[in-house]
This record gives sequence, structure tokens and C-alpha cells, in this order.
Amino acid sequence: MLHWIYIAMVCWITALVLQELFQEKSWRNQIALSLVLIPLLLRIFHIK
Amino acid sequence: MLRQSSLRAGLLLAGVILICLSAALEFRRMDSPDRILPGEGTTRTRALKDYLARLEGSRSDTLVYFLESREPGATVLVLGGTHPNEAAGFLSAVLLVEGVRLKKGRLIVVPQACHSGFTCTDPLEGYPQSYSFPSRSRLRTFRFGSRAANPVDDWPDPLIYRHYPSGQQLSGNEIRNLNRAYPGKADGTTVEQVGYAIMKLIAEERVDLAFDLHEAAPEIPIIDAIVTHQKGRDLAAGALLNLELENLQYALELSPPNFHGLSHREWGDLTPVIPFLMETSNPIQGRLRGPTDEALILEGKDRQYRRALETGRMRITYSPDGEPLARRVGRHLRALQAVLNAYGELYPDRRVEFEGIPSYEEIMKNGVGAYLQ
Repeated sequence: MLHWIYIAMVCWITALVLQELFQEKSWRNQIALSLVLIPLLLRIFHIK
Repeated sequence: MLRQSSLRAGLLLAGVILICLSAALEFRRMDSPDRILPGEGTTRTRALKDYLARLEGSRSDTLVYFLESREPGATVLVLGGTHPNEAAGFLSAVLLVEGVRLKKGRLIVVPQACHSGFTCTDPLEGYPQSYSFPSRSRLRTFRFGSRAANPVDDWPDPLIYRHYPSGQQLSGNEIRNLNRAYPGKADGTTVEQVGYAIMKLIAEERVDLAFDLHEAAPEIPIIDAIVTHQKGRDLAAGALLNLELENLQYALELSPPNFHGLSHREWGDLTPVIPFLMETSNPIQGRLRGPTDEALILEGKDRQYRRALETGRMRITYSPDGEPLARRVGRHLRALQAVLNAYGELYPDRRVEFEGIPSYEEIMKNGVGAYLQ
């Protein structure tokens, strides 16, 4: 159960980061946000 | 029309997905089983689930190989892969399964005792996921696992691990260490179940002598040692003397009576078996090591350990030419034979005799691959 609460939290943070990625205008910030997305997606899909 | 920044975000997202996909494919490779090709000496196979049905279908179930002769003799158990990042222990067991026949006695081999640990690597160590070398007929690739079972199988680790049944306390991550889990528990954690199944195997198969093959970092004091329960002291001492005559130095370490969960303690206390644990020097496990790659597993050469050896400021077991896999496997197999020979001298009607087992010098000269299928 604890595991799925953790995954739900990661999904929520991922949604926020995705929203920011599409709203952001600076390309530097967009690259930074996409880098943040990598570990979040890896956790959601149980990779690494 | 799409704004430029949205288009860029979409492209970056596609890049992120590509990176995740490639990581996923590499990650999934750890679930592909290693190919062990039993030689003509292997007479039958079972699995750990035959000793504990609960393990069926789990990541911890693993194959048990039987090498049986027609001549009576002792029954010997060899465990490799208790710690899946200790390649020489695992490969010594594989070599027995693939290249050895029994003339007298019976040999039971479990090359991947902690099978769950072969499906992941230790975090933050930068370990390679696999290593390859040529054998007699093909290029063999084996997984390089983690010291303990996959955390996914028992997540999360507790802050403190309480050993069953002694109540001894260890750090939380040791809950996934098979060599802290004996005698195990039928309905316990992943490794407690494996420990229980191995104890049951020892009892059901009436094992006389059991070997747990390990490796450790060059700075660990019990390197190149034979660790045994007090009832194996004389046998180990006899073996050590014979090994010394062959110019192979070993230390004899007695299992601490109050340190629970270890194979050499619990197997010896709770079953009639005489247990032995052997260690070789493995630079990839060391804290001082430099680049951590496949070559370090196979050749065992590390510049930092060489420097430590030359300056003499650290007590390490490291040869100037490195600690190659061939030497580590050769030492394990030679020490195993030396203990069995000492046992045969004490009990001539319980001898165990091998055919096709390479000598230490042969393995050093031809490499491990020359003795695998």
C-alpha cells in the first residue's frame, strides 16, 4: 500500500512538471524540467 | 498554430520517453535468466520450490543440480551466488555443473542461491549489469547481481532487521541478505524463505559437507580464508596444510558462536552437516576501487589497489598483477577439493571423487571459459 501511495505522489508531481514544461517559455528551463521528468517516469514505470 | 515553446516541450518530452524506453529495455534484461548448460555429469535437476512450495513462481526459486555417481560416498552441497555480485562463487558452482563428473559420492550444486539478487544491481555502485567471456563453444554472458535480494521483493527495508529466531539486530538492509537469514522461515521474507528451503534441502538430502562460496573486498580481513563451524575445524586445518604445500595460502577462521544467520553458524548448529564458507579477493567490491567495469570483474586489476599495495599503508589482499577471475575460481575449487580430500582421509568409505575438475594451474593457464560448455 505504501508503495502505491508513493507512486501516486510521483504521478502527481509528474503531472505538475509536465504542465510546467508546456507553459514554460524559456528553452533552458524546459530542458531542466525534462531532465526532472526522467527519474519520475522511471519510478512510475518501475524502471531502476 | 502551436506556439514554438509548446512544440519544443513536445520534442523534449519525446526525447525523455526515448531515454526511458532505452533504460527500460536494459533494465528488463536483468530478468532474462542466465544460461547454465549442465554437462554429462549432471544427472538430474530439481528446484528450491521442491523444498518449499511457497517459492513456486517467485523470483527466488532457483535450480538445484545433482551430480551423482554409482559409488557410495558423502553427499556434498555447494552454494554459489549467495551474494550475486561475487562472480567467482557463482562461476565455481557453474563450472562444477557444466564440466565435472562424480566418481564417488554425490554433489548437489545451487549456483544461484539468492536468485532474486541476480535481477538487480546494488544502487550507487555503478556496477555493470553483466559480463561476458568466451567458453569452449560460445560467448557466455552472465548477470552481475546485487549483494542482497531485489528490494522490490521485500520493499521497504525496515530500519532494523531482527534475525529470526535469535532476535539479533542488524542494519535494516541486511533483511535481504541470504547469509544473515538462516535458518529462515517458511512464511518469512524472500530470503528467509530461501534460507528455510536450503535448510530443508540439507536435511532431506542428508548432506554431509556444505560449502558456501563467496568473495569480498581486498581490505576485508577474512580474504583467502576458509571459515568453518567448530565441528569443521580439524578438516579445515588439514586442508590448509595441504594447500600450503601447494603454495596456496589460506587463513582458518572459526565461525563466531554468537553471530547468527550465517550459513557456517546455522547450518552447523541446526543440522548434522559440516559447513565451510570460502572467500577470495574481489576488487570490484572494494571501497578503494577506480573504474568499475566488466574488465574489473574478469581481470581484477585496479590502479588504486595497486597504489595501496605499493605504498603499504593499507592491509589488503591484492596481487601486483590483479585478482583475475581465473585465480579466484581456481582457489575456490582447489580449496573445495582439499577439504574433501581431508574428509576422505578421515572417512575412507565416505570419499568424494571428481573427474574432469581442472587444477588451479590449469584454470590459471586456460581461464574459466575453457571449462564451461
